[in-house]
Amino acid sequence: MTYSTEHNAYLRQIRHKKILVVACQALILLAFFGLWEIAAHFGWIEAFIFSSPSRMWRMLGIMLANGELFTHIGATATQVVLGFVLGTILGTLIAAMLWWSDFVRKVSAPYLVVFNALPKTALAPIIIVWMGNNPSAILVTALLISVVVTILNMLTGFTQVEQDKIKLTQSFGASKLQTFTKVIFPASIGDLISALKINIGLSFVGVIVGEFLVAGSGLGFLIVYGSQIFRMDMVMLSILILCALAAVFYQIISVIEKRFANWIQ
Amino acid sequence: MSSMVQLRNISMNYHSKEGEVAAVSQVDFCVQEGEFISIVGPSGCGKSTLLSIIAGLLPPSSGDVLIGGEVAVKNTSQIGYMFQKDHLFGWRNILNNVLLGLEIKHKKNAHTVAYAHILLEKYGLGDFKKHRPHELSGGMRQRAALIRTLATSPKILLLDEPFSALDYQTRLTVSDEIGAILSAERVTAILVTHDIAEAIALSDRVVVLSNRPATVKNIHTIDICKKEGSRRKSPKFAGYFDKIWEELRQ
Repeated sequence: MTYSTEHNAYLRQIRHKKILVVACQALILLAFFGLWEIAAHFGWIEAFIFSSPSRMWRMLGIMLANGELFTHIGATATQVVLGFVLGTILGTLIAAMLWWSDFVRKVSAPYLVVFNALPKTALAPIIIVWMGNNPSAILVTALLISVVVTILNMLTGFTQVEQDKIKLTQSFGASKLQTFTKVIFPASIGDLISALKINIGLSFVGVIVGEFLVAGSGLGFLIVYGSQIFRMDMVMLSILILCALAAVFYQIISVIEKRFANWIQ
Repeated sequence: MSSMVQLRNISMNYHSKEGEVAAVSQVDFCVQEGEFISIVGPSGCGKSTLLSIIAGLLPPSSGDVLIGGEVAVKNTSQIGYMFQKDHLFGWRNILNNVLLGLEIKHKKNAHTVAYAHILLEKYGLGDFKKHRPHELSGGMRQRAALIRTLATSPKILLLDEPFSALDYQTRLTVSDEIGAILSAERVTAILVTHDIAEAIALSDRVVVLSNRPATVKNIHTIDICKKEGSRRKSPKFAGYFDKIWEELRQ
């Protein structure tokens, strides 16, 4: 397709702006690590405490060579995905139950509010005592953090579906289950996706806190272990990997979100 | 002619913490088979409440509704409902939206699906079966919403201000179209509207309701031939309009 010169100029302008944004983003990253390396190299900061990109790079080499890095990344990623998926499913199921029964919803309302406001990480030590010093305690911590938000999010979605849409299905003689599956749930897909976006972050919080307290593996364990034995290279590297992992998960959800972009219109 | 719908002494009170409000009081009228009835009344007088009662979605405080001579207990399979908005589901294409009622009623089979296809073709949506609702114009969407109800072969269609969300021009076209479709499919229809002209243009009879609590003020038989194209052009039209307008203002 051919465009007028004016339109081409417009397209070029948009492209230039986009390139400029990406270039600036890359520059900031480069400057950050560059300055860090220089500062460590000239002794402006103590590399033993602050680590440095080159030391982290060496550490990456060592940990890749003995293969332990993959074990730790795998452990954390598995727990995050499990906590995230289970939290979303469980939260949605409970929200569906609350939508179903007006009475149960009213009774549980104050408990939900308090439970939502409570920092769930405060419960982590108790969970470990109850569940034992094993990975399932980490999972439960992650689950607990994401489940309440999911319940509240999904319940809002379910109860905000237009009354006339419900009346429409009822005019066809729909049962309550049919009303839920044909209208309420599909109409709340947008809320489900926003719950996913919140939950991925929360699930990370839960897993890392859990690993701080329990684990013998995982990135959270590496962070705590590294700081205890003063291997700051290990700590910093683990945090960096955590950033990358979070970015990957967020991207996956963005893809899902795009897929459902014009689901409700 | 037999009575398709009969309202016997319908009253409806709404209860809230603040008190009790009488919405409908002793409403009594019949709708014959194949007839198109409009209900007009001041806004908030309880017109929509009346439709919900006829549909069986709302139990009246007293009185009863007879559908085809029998007391309608719960929603019978004979009623279709149309709303102000089309309420087509964005996550379904037009065909699947049209099949919604059949799915819910567990009546989706080769025969009924074929009928839905016929209706879509007949009323100009044949090329849009795979389209999403947002790709259609307001008028087409409202037509699709009508076909969604017609696909379940209802004997009675309840229309709750189905054209009021459309812009004026579309509204005129769509109300004529839908009027034509309904008389072609021989469906008994009850239309609730606040548009007097629309009521006269479409109906055999117009029921005028009073202010809240709604009672029947008058019932006008509209004696203008439907076949002669738009009824709005008839010299009798203005006469009916003035009479109903006068009654509503009292």
